[in-house]
Amino acid sequence: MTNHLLSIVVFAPLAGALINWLVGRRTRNETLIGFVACGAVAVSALAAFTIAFTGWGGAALTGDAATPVMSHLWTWIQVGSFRADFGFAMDRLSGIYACFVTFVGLLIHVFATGYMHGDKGFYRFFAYLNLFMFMMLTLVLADNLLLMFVGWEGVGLCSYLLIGYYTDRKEAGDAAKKAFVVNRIGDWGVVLGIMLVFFLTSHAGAPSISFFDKTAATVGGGDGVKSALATIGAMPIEAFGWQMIFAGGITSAAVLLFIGATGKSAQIPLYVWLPDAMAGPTPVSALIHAATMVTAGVYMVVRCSAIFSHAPTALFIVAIIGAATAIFAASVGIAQNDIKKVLAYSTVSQLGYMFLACGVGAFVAAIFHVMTHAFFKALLFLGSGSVIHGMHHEQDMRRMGGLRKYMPVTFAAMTVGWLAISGFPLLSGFFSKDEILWKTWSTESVGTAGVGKFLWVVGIVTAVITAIYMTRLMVMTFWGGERFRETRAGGEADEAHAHAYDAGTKPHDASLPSAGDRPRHEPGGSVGAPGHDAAAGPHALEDEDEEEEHHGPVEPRESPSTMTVPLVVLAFLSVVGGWVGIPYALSGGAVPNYFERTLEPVVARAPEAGAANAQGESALQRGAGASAQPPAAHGNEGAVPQSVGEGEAGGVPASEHAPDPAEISRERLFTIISVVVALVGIGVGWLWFQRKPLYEMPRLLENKYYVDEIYDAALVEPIKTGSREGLWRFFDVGVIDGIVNGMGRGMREIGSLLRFLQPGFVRSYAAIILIGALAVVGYFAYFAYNAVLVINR
Amino acid sequence: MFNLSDYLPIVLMFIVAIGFAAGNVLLSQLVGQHKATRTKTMPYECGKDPVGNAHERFSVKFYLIAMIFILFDIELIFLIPWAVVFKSFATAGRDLGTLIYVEMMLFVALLLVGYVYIIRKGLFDWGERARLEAEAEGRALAETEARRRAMQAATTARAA
Amino acid sequence: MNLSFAIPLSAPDVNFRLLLPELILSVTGVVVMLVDAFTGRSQRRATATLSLAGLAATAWATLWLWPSAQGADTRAWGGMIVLDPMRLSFTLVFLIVAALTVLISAIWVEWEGLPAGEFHTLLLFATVGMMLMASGNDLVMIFLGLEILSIATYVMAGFRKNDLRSNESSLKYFILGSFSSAFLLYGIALVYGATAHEVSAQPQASGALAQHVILAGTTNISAIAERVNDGLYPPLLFAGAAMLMIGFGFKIASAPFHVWTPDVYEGAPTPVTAFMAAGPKAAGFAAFMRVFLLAFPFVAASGQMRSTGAQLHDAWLGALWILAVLTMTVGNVVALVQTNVKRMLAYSSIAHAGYALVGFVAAGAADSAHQTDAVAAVVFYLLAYAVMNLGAFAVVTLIARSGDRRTDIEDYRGIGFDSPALSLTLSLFLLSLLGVPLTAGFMGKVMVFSQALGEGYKWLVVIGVLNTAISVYYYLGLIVVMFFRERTTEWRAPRIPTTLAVVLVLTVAGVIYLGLFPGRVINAFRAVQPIAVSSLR
Repeated sequence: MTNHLLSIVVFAPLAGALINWLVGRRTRNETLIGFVACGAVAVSALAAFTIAFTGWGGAALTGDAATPVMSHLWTWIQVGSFRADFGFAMDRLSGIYACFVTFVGLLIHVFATGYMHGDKGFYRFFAYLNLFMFMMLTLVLADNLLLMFVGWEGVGLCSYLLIGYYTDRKEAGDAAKKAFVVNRIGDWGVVLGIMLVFFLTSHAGAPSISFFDKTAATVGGGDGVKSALATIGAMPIEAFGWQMIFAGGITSAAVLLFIGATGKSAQIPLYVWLPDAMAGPTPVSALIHAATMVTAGVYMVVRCSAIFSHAPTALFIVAIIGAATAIFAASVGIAQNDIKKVLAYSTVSQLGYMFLACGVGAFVAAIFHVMTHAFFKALLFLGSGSVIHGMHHEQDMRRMGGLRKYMPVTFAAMTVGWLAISGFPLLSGFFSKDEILWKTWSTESVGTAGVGKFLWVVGIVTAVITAIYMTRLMVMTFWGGERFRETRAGGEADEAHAHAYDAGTKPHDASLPSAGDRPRHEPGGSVGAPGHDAAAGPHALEDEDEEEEHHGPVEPRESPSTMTVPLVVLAFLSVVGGWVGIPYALSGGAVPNYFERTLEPVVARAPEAGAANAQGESALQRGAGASAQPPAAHGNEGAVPQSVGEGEAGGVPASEHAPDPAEISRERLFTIISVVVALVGIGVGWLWFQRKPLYEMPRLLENKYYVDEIYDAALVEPIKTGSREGLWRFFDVGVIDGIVNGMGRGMREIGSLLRFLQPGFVRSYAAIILIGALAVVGYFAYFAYNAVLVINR
Repeated sequence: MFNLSDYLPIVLMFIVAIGFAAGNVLLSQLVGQHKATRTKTMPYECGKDPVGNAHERFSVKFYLIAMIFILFDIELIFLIPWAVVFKSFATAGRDLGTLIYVEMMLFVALLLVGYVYIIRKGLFDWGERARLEAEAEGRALAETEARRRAMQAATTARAA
Repeated sequence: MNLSFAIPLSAPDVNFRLLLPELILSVTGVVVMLVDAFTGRSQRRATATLSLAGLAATAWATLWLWPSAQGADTRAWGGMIVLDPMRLSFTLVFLIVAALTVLISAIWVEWEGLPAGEFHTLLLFATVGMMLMASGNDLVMIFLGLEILSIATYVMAGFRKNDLRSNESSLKYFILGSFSSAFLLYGIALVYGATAHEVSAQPQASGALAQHVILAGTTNISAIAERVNDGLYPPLLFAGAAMLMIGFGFKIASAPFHVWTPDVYEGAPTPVTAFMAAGPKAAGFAAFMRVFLLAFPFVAASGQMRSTGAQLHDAWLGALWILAVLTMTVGNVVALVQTNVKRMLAYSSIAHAGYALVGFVAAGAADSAHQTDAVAAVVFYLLAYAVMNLGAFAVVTLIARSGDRRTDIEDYRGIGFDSPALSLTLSLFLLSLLGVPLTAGFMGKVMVFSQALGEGYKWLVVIGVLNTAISVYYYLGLIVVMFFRERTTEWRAPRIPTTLAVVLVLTVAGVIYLGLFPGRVINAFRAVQPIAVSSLR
């Protein structure tokens, strides 16, 4: 069905961005700018929820799964058989995304109004932030691959702008550039992938890059479009083997798309930009680099699940990369001292979980984790922002400690986030992570069936490490001695980190004042120590020297309500967010697994290893169910995957089937293992860091396995040298410039000569004109002579 | 074949022209006031001092006046050919009399607009200072005249 | 006595409809003049608004005439005024130029405290002159238009009375302009004489002069074309054509008749320079093309002999080819060494006249079916040039400040990041002047060059492209100066006034629109029927 409310979802933030850029820039009125920015996102959120849940809007989430809500605006490109529409569509997958993106986005916007208070670029910040929302929603709601790619590039641009938001700081600019360049590497994958999809569908006789079937009615006349995903879904599943990657078939397309996902979602080997991206303001880190943009890769993989499910090799790669990233990033995260860096590596690690889930064919679980992760990671980031704000832009956890009595609300909220991410029972992270681990263990997907157990081990170890480093973060920040009272010039804190840093060379060297996030305002201005308030008011925009002075012993203080209220809301969501997806094994059918029931019809299922035990395995694959309907009611089982949009015609969703009791008990066992693992991790972390909060971590970990250095030495430097010596010094300067300059110099010589003809005297001008006139007349006279000859003849 | 009567209009024109010039001079002599100022009694040199440095810079006004004069002059000459052919166009066969008449009136109106424009732009305003000078001179003249009258009256009174 | 009545007087075919745009604009000019005279200086906005309204009304009239341009009834006023797509498209270019100039000059007039009303009046009358040049189908009409335009422009060039450079510019322009007008007038006279043919006198009275036969030439373009081959004095025709070419060559500033351009453009107030580079140049092209394409058309050789018409066609086409090459090359090469932005743009305008001449050459060589395409390409080129040139000069005006003080390239050092709006738009215009794809300048060059290629002028196109390559140097040079040089002079980013902002928005939009969607415009400019000499009256 068509509903143009979708356009409002997408364009409201754009309007906000424009208003803030055009009007806000002139007025510089923070109230107005904040109101416009938050209002735009609120409108967007309202519209999104209306479409998703109410019948009036189209009920994208609760209605018929086979008919997404569409809004066709215009036919964007129509060249030959290649067609890309400028149109939006909300099905169940994009509906979930749109809802949590707008809602979490709204909370972060509100938080940012407090956090960025007094910043010189207030309007700019919110204009970018709104622009980001616009791009993100374009990405999510686009109804074809090309428009999605526009959003994909757009969020990349906004990310670049926002990471480099503090334009006067070199590391912010460098980080922004790094993010941009690394993402470009991924983007060629996406572009090639889209092209390959088009070729594949063309070959199948239905050229398309659309996600959905579009009839003539939805596009407002003309021919309809067949869904590319359905076309590919109807193709046979490709074989499992390395050679398939280069075969130019579905596997190649999937791998190319996944390359893009590794860039955008910070997976090995393209994850390096995300930790550096923490140079942006903390709300940006929360919104873009934790909750929304970085999950775009997961979204794409799930959106293209029909493609991936036909490419077991690609799924295998996805799973391996995801698991490797998860454990790798977690191990790095345990050794970081910058509070935002810990969270950054944690994000990378959690994204790895999501891809692990995708790889084993548990696309629903991946999206479930995306959503819960958006809640608790946004919460943790905003909490860290609140801490940083309260600590006057100190990000080094070694200079924190004992903050819980100064910042009770932040502490309480972050505690929820900590427990949620660690997998504490009944919190949101527990359900989603448990689901992923269970699906990993029990995977029967062609690609990963053999390594499922191994991947599970990796996942469980990652879970332990996750719990440990999060505990470390909490302990270092909120418990223990009040290390921030110690002077900077000595003491335990400085000694503790001096060993690891070549002073002044690392961007986040804690010995430098305020290495991290630092809005351009007087720290005491709104939230600082009470004593500063009166003095700071008039000097709200003093330069930084003033700010530096406050980096001695500081008095932490709770953040204002604009910041704490979003924290509380997110904390609430982090608790209850998981309850929409309680597996059958735990609830016993008392609470339906809403999440799975909603998403199941719109994602494809991975091909399973043995077609023989298709019935049982596929039921297992579908996870828990509620009623005891016989599995035989479903036609397309086994190795034939269900393609996007087919839905379960007339039947009860696949997730509503009772699995084998043995499976249930096994799943319960694994749940218990998860709980134990979480508690062990927390316990270990507590015992370890409660006693020694400044425990010195292995240098290998603290230096992130020297990956940045290796990249520098292996890739960046050779390219730089090659460009400088080869391209620039030899080719550019020698060859091109030589020719161009040579020509230019010659021309300039001629020009200088000709300039002598321009002395400025009217008489010489008249003479030149006269000479020219004589020449013209002479030229004509020659022809006149000819003419006369002809006449006389 | 020389027919003197053919040239009667020319003679008429000469008479009218001479009459116009002479008539104007006479009329002003008869009607106007007579205040002989020093400026007025000077030999007529288009407003310049007849004796003085030849390298003196002229006021640009002279050129402007000359230019405007020529402009209007030439434009008015256009009236003559128009008048000559007017009748032949206005004859019954062509019946363009109204059109041509209106066109010429438009032309004259445009001239008038130009004239109004140059007046408004102050082309004939020779400047505040000149006007003040002339006024001062007039007052001085009136005073000397009054003094002369008074003296005359005194002498006549004494004589009486 | 009989002589003056010997040529039968035909009733003029009065047709105000055909002259409507010119009439509207003339009336506007008069009204603006009166408003200026009666309201004094405080009302400078009023005259600007009035001028814009008049220009808009004229544009409306032009568009209203557009559908009938292809019809039958396209000549009037004794064949002096013609209505065809070429005239109308040129008229539209002039109107755009005039309107943008009014907007650009608003800020300048205010800065300098100049009499705005006078300026607007002159501008409107100059525009009327340009329009007459495009609509005249008679050499006399064209000359009248040219003089109306020239006299107004002379005054405008010297409009900043207290600035010596402005005075110098005006005087040089006047002297050299008169010089070239003399050539033109002489050419007209020669053509008139050359096309003389016998008119049998109607005896006024029985008797005396009954057998007397007098000779009369013509200045009507269509009539000239008819008589090219059977004129009484063919050599005079060549001389006349040569003189006409010199006169028009001066107007469009083609080398070697371009020498006045740099001095005049540099000295004149910047908005006037913008106008001169765009408007009168286009008007020159309008008249130049009409006269040479229609009065001296290609006449097929009869047998082995090349007729006078064919010889004449060869002559002017060859001369034009040389002019085009010279103009492009001189303009671009000398522009390389300029240190003043206005002077650089002056040379650039010479170069652009050269590019447009390439299209003209193509139009000259084309048969009547393709001629309309070539003419449309030239008009399109001139429109594109007008838009980007006015945009560039608008920025230059703003940066120059009152008194045209800051016009050296040195003054542009490093302003890029302090005034991003200005320097980015200027960069866009420079790129368009250079002919970077997706801009108007690119489309214009493509059209002109492709027409020339279509007529087989390979070398002309090669030279044109080489010249474009040369021009990269100075266009990009200015961009480099703006963005990549350290600032050495004191610089305060100017506030962009509303009128100028409007100009910039319009010109940027125009550059991009013409660069992306040229089809609609070029189709409107093309005549459906060929501009046919066969449809002579």
